[in-house]
This record gives sequence, structure tokens and C-alpha cells, in this order.
Amino acid sequence: MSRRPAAIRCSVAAAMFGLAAAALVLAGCSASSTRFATPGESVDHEEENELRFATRIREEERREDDRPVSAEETGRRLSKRSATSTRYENTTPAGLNRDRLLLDVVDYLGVPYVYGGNTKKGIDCSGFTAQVYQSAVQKKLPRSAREQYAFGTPVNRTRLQFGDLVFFNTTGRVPSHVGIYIEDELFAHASVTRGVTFSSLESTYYRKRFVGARRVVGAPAE
Amino acid sequence: MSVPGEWSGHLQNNPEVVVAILPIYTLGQSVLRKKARPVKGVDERIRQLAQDMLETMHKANGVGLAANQVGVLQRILVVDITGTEGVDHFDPLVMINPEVMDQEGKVAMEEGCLSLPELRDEVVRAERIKVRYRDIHFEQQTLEVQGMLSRVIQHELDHLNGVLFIDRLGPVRRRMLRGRLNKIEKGDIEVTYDVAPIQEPVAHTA
Repeated sequence: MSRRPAAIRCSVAAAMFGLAAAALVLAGCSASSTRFATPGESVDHEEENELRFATRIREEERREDDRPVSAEETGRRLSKRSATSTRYENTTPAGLNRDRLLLDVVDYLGVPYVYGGNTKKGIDCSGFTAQVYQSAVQKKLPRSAREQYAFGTPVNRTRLQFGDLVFFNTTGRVPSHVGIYIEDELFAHASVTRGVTFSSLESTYYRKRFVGARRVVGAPAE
Repeated sequence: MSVPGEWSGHLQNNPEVVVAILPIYTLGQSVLRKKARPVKGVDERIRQLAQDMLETMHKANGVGLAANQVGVLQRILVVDITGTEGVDHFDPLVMINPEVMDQEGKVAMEEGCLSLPELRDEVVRAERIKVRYRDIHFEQQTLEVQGMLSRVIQHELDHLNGVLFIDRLGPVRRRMLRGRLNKIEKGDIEVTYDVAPIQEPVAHTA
């Protein structure tokens, strides 16, 4: 067994983490039907917009990312709960197998954001939610965030449960970004700048842009 | 903290004994996944092995080392927790054919492993154990331990059974570590101690 690294290394690591956390965040995933571009259409224009958009957000985010979330820490905490606590039932009230879905979320952690992407090489927000639902619950979701918004049952912000889809308006179009609610105000999503990660609904950025939630598996929400 | 009558240090103080630093086997090498065989008696080779293991552990700044980690499938582990919290002095411990006789409580504690460089995670294990083993003179001993010593012995005893601490993590956590584990398996690691090249080891036999 090895020794815990010396304290000095810990503080360097902590400082580096602080820098990384301060550096920024953000997601904006402009999902619209143009992603299903027919061969005649060009998606380049859309991607160009996306890039410019991401740059703008980056600056805004630097000011507004007031609730940094460490994916590493979050994953550690979640897995600890699933292994040791009975408080967190493995099956949610909505009938989702929590561990199964978490495993799929974790599988995508760190996958870079690629607009229109649908694989572990690169994925966008709605591609991420669709892939996770497909493999964890064999549920086929529509491909765009807007269509996913129209797909499930509305859920009140205060009654969010593990697995619910949470939607955001990040581009002026409604809704343009989607993630999967985990617990304690955390959600997993494919962020433009950080790739697949966890973020907090309580951060100023996401709180301002939150537009609603949908439950796609299980009984009607209310 | 001191455990009496274990490793007398007679080899350490003997100038005729040449000590070797052995390369440490890392994840991906099959010897770490094999069960070590009981030692039938202590001869010069076993004494030399124990001595080399202690030296290897010290050089790698470890607190424990099992024979599997130096490519030997013999049930031997060494421990030295000097310098861990609250332990100013500890006589290095060599345990041959160790067995847990009794255990009590459950506690989570962060662990690392010389065979899994740069990886640390919280593992739940028994809090206190009663362990029976043979010392370097092949005398039967029993020891009741808790805290760090209990932790290290359990970790090393796992090695002798082909078990690594990552096997004791939850499925979600293990999945999160997969990328880093793959890197270690490929030999993509930075360590300050000698590691065995990734290939099939030749296991020593007694």
C-alpha cells in the first residue's frame, strides 16, 4: 500500500483545482431541426454560429459560474451513496434503475462536446440525454432538445427526481439545452466548453436559464 | 507504536547480506491477479526475499508490500507504517502465511497502491482484525490490530489472494476510473520507483 501524498502536493493540487474551477464553464447547445440537415443543406453555418456563441458565453460564464461542480468529486460521492446508503433507493419513484443510469452517465463523463455528435468521441446535449436513455432504459428519445421538451410530462422545479430531463434556454430559442437531473440540484449534461460533466441548477447561469423539466419514464409527475 | 518480536532486523544489520531493490509489478500483469501459495518453511531464499521486499517498499515510500507485487507467488507481506499519523516508530513487520481469524466493525479509509500509481480512493474494510501468521523464524504469531496497521495488513492480504483495492469500489466509481486504469495497464505512468516492464513475469517458487 502506498503512502498518502505529502501535504505540499495536496495544496498544489487544491490550488490547481481552484484555478480550473475559476477558469470557466458552460453549455449552450443550440438544438434545432437544422441538425438533421439534408445533404443539400450546409451545417457549417450553424456550427460557426455555435462557436461564436460559445465564445460569448465563455466570457459571461467567467462572471457567473458561482457554483463550480467537480465531476470527479460528484462521481465519487454518488458512487459512495449507491454502494453504502439505503437512503438512496436504487429504484427511483419514477421506476428508473438509478445505478444503471448513473453508470451510463459516468461512461460519458469527459466526452468532448461536438455539435450534432452522438458517440463517445463527441456528443452534444440532446445526443447525450438520448444515448443515456437508450442504453439505460431502452427508451428512444427524439434527437433535439426542443423535441425532447415536447416529449415527456412536465415536472415542477421543486419536485425534480433522479432521471428527469431539465431544459434551459441558452440561445434565445426555447429550449436549447438539456441535461439529466441527478440529485441535490445537480444535473449531468454535455457542456460546450467542458464536455459531459455535472453542473448545479443553483448556479446563477443555469438558474436564470432554466425553463422546465420533463419526466419521460414512469407515472405522470403531479 | 511498536510490535514486539517480529522482524528482529538481524538481516538489516548484517553486512554480508546484499539487499536488492526489486521492480514492482503494476496493474495489467497477471501475477497481481493470482493467488499466492503458502510458504512451507523459511530458508535463505525466503529471508532474502523478505529483506528485499522491505527494502523495495522503503525505496518506493510504501507502507506495505505483498510478494505478488514483486512477481513472487508466495504468501509473504511486509509492513512498515512508520511516519503515518501518530506513528513515530514501528518495527517493520514480515508476515508469512497470514490469515484473518476474526474481524470487527466497518470503516472507510483512503488507500493507494504501489501497483496502481497515482490512484487513491476510499475503501470500506473491517476496522479491527485478529491475524495469525508466521514470523521470519517461521514461529506462529497472532496479532490484534486496528487503525492504519489493520488497514495495511488487509490491503496486502488481498494482494496474496489476487485482489486489488479497486475491486472493492462500487461499480460507478470503478467505471469512472476506467480511463486511468487503462493507462496504467499500458504502462503510461510516472513513478519514482522501478516498475517491472509490462510482460508475463516468471514466478519464483520455493
